[in-house]
Amino acid sequence: MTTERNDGDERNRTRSNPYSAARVVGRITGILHRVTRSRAVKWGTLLFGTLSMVLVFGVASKTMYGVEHGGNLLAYWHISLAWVAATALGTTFLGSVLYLRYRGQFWSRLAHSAGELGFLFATLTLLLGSVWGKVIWNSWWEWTDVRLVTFLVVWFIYAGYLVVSSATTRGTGDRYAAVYGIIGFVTVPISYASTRLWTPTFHETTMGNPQVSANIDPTTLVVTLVAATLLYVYLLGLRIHVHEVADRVRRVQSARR
Amino acid sequence: MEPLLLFGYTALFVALFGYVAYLQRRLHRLERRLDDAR
Repeated sequence: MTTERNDGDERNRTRSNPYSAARVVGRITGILHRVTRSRAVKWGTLLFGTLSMVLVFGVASKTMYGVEHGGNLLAYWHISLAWVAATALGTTFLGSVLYLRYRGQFWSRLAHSAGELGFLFATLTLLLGSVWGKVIWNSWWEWTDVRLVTFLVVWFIYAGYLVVSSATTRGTGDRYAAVYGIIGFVTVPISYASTRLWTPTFHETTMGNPQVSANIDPTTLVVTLVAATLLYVYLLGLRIHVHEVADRVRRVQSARR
Repeated sequence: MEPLLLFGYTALFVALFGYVAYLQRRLHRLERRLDDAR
């Protein structure tokens, strides 16, 4: 009886206060749903993706760090993929925090979808980076480079996240995955700051470093970053939709039993 | 076109289009299962 009254009071408070946390979170959920499934994101991905390819192959210079080679053109998507991987893993962190706080299924789906995409983008970052490394360092992999090693740690952490979220049951399992998503995120800023924290051997600090010699075309890089971000938002919407339909199937099947 | 450049962008396209195709296929299967369950 007391619990029912408390629930009723909570609902009334939520209804009367337009700025209550539950309402704000509900509104954010609605906006995220609309944004990830909008046509603007789909067409924007296609438009910026095509424009990026035109700029990479038609405008950008093939000479980087004093080495002239077509393989240098991989740098634009390598950097952009690293950016979206970090954004996706940041989304997993936020989704996990919000799931533990508000328990809405949307946050759990968001965290898992972003974690899966983050893992995919991190894998592609490592692959393209390795090929680009062969061009400018004449080596596929360098164990002495802090950025490479810390990024590999991030990759393993998120491989573990996917294993944890797929191997556990719904409900309790989602909570374990959320805790893992929060703790695991610590590795992402460490990897980003590694070139400042330790002495870099191959990767140099690029942001705020006037002596950087990469010779990267800023317009091509910005267009590629936008294309990769839109691609991430589109894939995130699609992955969340798959989660929602799977949950609906599960609900209908359990109701029939 | 240099082989490394070709390999890098081919791998990128195959992975991304493969992932989209996998999600679309899974979505269609789930939608069919949902219709059957109803």
